[in-house]
Amino acid sequence: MWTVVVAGVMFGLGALFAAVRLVRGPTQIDRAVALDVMLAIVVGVIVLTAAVSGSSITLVIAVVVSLLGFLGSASLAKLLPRDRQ
Amino acid sequence: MSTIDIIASACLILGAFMSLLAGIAVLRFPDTMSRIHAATKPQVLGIMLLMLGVGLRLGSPAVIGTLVLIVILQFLTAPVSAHLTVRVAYRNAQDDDPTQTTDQRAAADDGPDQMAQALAEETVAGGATENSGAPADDER
Repeated sequence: MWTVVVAGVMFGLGALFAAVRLVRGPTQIDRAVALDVMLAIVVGVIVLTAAVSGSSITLVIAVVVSLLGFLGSASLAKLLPRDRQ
Repeated sequence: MSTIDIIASACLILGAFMSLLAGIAVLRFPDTMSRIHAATKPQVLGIMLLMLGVGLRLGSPAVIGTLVLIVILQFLTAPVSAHLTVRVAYRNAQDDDPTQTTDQRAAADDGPDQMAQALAEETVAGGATENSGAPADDER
């Protein structure tokens, strides 16, 4: 059980740091990268939930979230305006 | 607690540790390029370790199929999205460089002809006007 606690604390701290970068980030690309990291952490938490509960039904959500992460960052990279000085 | 359980726990904790490292790196690294470099670690290696841990713990064939699907999906999509993001970051950094009047490196992406054209435009303009409208901008 302590595995879940240690992994959960690590996930939480990682998501917290990424959220700080999301708020602070000087450019829009930094925010996109921070969101990407947070989505990877969400996939990790979903998978950890499946490992704890022993049911595989949440793994489908992990598939969908990882696809959404790719779509999100690809479309952000395509649609973000170039910031000029 | 059997040996497989211990290995699964180690994989889960290592995968979570990758996420922690990525969070710290995204917060602490100085520029966008190095942040992107660190941010792709949990997307590939961390997800792989987590899937290994869950697969060892649950271990039914249907679960392992879903896990392999997630890993293959991440392996295919993570480099592509990182590449797209880095390209935008690279070109924006190019725009911020005040010593260059023409977007030469972005023009070099389009091939030698466009690069020669951009260089010729720069010498004609002589840097008098802000000549940032290089040919590479039009395709976007």
